[in-house]
Amino acid sequence: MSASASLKVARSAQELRRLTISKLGWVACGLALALVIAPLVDIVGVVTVHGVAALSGKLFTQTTSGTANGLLNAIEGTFIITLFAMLIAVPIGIGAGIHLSEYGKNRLGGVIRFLSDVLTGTPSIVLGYFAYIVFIIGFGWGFSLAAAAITIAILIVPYLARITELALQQVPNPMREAAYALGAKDHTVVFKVVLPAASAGVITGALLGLAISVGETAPLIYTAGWSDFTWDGRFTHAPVAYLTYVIWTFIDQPDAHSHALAYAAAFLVMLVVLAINIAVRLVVRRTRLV
Amino acid sequence: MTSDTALAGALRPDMQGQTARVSIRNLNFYYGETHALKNVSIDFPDRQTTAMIGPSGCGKSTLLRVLNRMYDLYPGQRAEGEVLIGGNNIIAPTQDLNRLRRRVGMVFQKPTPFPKSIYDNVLFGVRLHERLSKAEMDERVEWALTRAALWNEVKDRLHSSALGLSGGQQQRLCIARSIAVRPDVLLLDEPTSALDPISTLKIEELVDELKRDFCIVIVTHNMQQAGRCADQVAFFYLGELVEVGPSSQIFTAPRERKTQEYITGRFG
Repeated sequence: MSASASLKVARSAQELRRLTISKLGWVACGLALALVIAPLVDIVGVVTVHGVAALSGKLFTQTTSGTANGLLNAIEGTFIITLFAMLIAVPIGIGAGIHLSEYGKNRLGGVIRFLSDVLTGTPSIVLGYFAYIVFIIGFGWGFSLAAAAITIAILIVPYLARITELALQQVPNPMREAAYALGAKDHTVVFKVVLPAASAGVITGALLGLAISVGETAPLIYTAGWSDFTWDGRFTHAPVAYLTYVIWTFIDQPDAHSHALAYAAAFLVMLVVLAINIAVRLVVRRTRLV
Repeated sequence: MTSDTALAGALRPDMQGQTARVSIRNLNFYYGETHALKNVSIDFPDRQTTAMIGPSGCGKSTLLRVLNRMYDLYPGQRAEGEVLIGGNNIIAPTQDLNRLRRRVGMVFQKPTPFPKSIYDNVLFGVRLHERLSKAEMDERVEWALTRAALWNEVKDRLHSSALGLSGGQQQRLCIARSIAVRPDVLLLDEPTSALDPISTLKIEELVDELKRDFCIVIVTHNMQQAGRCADQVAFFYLGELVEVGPSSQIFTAPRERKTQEYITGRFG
């Protein structure tokens, strides 16, 4: 009788300890979550409040002059830099991903994969400086669209290659064998069967590349320069404007209208990146249902 | 069941005398250093079903993958010997693989529909080898799906995704896709192991029906299935062909002790 009673006491003490630890755990997790979310809420809140206040039609119809007026040149600049960067990066990145996944199980594939990982880990400002030395100084292009787009492309390619590779590897091998068993050649198997089966992953990769391109600053400081005018169609010897430059420099200016432009630019970049992320989710969800 | 197969055997008293669609002589196969098939010689007669049975790793799937040179996709795998299909040694390095695979269709363990419509799945192989008009393509799709006993279930949704079909339907679609190119030989690698009993029954009936036109080789772990589907049964063990004969004989009076032990479930 007394033995069982003491057992009961011991058990409830242990239970109490367990419950306490459990509660502590919950609190710790909640705090960690709050620490992660609070800065995000702060950033999004501040940018939205100031950004919305700074929104006006002028932003989209006028170019900057000094640190005033609109953002037309910067919006257009970000758009064309991203466009040309994607035009360069998408074929190369997806092509490299296909090569790594389908034919890269050898030494060469290992080397390419390693170098690609190194490139992914390279700070973008280092890449920017490298591009500055090669394109701006070496090739004598000056600050220009070509230098900016190629630099951003170099930044995106390894991401795109890796995501494409991972997406293609998700495609079960019997699917490939089934295509070969019908007498298909390599290119038919890759382009008609494997790539369509992995399209969600590949599109996701491309969209993430797009988000990186829109939000990148450091490499552009070294390559794009800055211009108060819209693009004149030249790829070299003509600096281009871009949104992140406005965020980075105008916020340091002493006057309110510069700050307003900086917040407006930040708000636009944030909206675009948000839209891209929503698009990614939609792509992933839709293809999962098929 | 047994009487059926016995009857089939009685109707074909001398199977060795049948015209062989595929003739294998002294075939050896290596996965790198591993000797997976040892000196195998066997004939697969036309318009008959041959079942290959044996415990896992005995080489039966390997043999199947030699017949359409699937092993070519993987470095380090090689075959030596003679595999004659229509008089050509298809394991010769000069063999055109795409042409071979057009003549030797294969269906895999798990259904492998491509992420396309039912219609485009059936025509996938056809489009690689033939140029057909729209009407001819429609006709071919209906023919292949009918032969695969799937037409009635999908005729109203030919242009919806093949991924929406059930597992059993997907497997019949894969069979339709394989026969749509009108091969001579049809290889089935455990085609029902991922399916429920009713789907399995449908595939077996289908195999029985298809052997009128094709030389069928099926790998199976299911002894009853071999008994139900096959005219000829080959038993493999550790890379060697232990015994081959009419299924009635293999299941009632096997010559080798190893065969008897396997079919009575004493090992494997």
